[in-house]
Amino acid sequence: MKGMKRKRKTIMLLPFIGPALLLNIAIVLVPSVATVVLAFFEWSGLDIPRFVGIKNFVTVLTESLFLRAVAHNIVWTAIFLTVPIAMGLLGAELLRRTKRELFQPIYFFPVILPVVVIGLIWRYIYHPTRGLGKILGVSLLGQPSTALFAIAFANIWAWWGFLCAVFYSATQGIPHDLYEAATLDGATGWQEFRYITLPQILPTLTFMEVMTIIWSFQVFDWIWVTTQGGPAGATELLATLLYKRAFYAYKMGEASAIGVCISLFGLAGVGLYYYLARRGAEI
Amino acid sequence: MTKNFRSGGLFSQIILLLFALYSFFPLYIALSASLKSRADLFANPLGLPKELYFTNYVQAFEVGNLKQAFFNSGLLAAGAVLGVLLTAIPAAYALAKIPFRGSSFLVGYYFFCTTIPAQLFIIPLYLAFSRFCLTNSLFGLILIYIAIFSPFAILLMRSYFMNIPNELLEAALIDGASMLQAFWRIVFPVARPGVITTVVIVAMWSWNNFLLPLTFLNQERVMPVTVRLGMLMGRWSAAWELIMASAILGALPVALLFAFLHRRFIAGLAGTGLKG
Repeated sequence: MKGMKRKRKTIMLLPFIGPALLLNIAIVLVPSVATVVLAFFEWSGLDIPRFVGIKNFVTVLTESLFLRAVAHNIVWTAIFLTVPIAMGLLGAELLRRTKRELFQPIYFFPVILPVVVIGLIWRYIYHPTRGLGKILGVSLLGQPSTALFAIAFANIWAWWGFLCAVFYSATQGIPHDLYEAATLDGATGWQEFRYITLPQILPTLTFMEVMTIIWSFQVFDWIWVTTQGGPAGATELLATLLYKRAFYAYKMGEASAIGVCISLFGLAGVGLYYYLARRGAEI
Repeated sequence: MTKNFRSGGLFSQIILLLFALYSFFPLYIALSASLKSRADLFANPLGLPKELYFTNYVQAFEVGNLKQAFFNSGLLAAGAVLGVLLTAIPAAYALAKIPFRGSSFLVGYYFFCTTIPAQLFIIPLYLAFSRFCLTNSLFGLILIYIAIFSPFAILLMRSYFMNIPNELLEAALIDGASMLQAFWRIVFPVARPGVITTVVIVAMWSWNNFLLPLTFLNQERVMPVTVRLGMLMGRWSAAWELIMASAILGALPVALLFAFLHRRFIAGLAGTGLKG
């Protein structure tokens, strides 16, 4: 009797959750699992896959190209954990104080633009014989020492407004009397931020830091629409390396191994962040 | 100065203004470049145009064959929006209002899905799609968009559905309305802001996506605007006024959407919706 009732409930639920879940399983879940499996095979995508054990991982992990890409991803993560977050916090705190909400859509506008469009705009700005590049006299995207930072700079432009909006939205939940009490006590602006705003939005801040780590290991578009990994591999990230390995070199197994590494690095970064945050809290 | 800073005074407002100028500056560069003649642009790369060359836009649209690309992008966005609404609204409703075993697991799973990189599934998916002749097909790409955007849509709309009082639903059900009728008459009107937010964000994500059409569509007839724009550099390597005009045209639909509905964008992407 109870079993029948449960069965009926399942049947009733299916039209609600079924379509979305089925599509998700077919397009996201099964292929994701398949990538992990494929990482242990050698396959061009055309011939018959051959099991090779951990060979793909050994190949990519000992490759200098891969190690450089990891280093670039770590630099990228470090930049995005600090610079745009600080800008977002500053913007949010000033918006909270001044109530000038009309600035918010202005800061947010670059966030919604297609990356390829922003890439073209900044390529023009950086162009050595045009735009700002002409005045600066250097090709910021063209020389290996600056290219990655130049792309990150463009990405920050189109990213910090998102963080600003997230943090500002979090400050809207802080009880007003906290600030009123602080004003009565004669707290400075910095003290207000440090002892009220920051602790109050800490969960949001932590969440954004964790997401930053995950997102930083997935970056593809920004590189692809500016340098495609060049010059001389100076902007090669894991995601661009994977793309070239899969769709230019047709080494599906090695590319899958890189894909698994991207996910693991994201997870490891999150784990490390929580570990450090907990140690920080204990101290 | 400390006093000014504290009371949201002049100093704070100047910083906010500088942030606004910083946000605006690259857009100004692109806009002014797109309106200059080639000679004007070369002589004067950063200043205001001497005269406005709107013909750049016409030329960019025609020479770049953007018409087909716009049609493709529009179709992809419309298909994705429709598909996400059809699959995510019922799922979000069930997860908000029908208690069942595994429902919190499913919510957690969908949250997990919003963090999965496309790189994790793109290779087997590509190989499978090419076997089933779903590459170079807008329909095939729409299926992928629905699958990857619906977890976000489900979580977002679920948070709106949860605000609907159960008594309201129960009253309707007692009155003899079916589940579906109750949904359309009571739930949908209350959840409208969530639905609009979903529509604009999914439309924007579909329009802007680059990696997936780059991978799954490589024939010119099916390419969306983003992929076409990515190919412009090689084609017009010196004609920056045309490249900038094309870039602005490519951003125009999302920019217009944002101009009218920026509150929805900001609430949906930066509000509490993302965190389920």
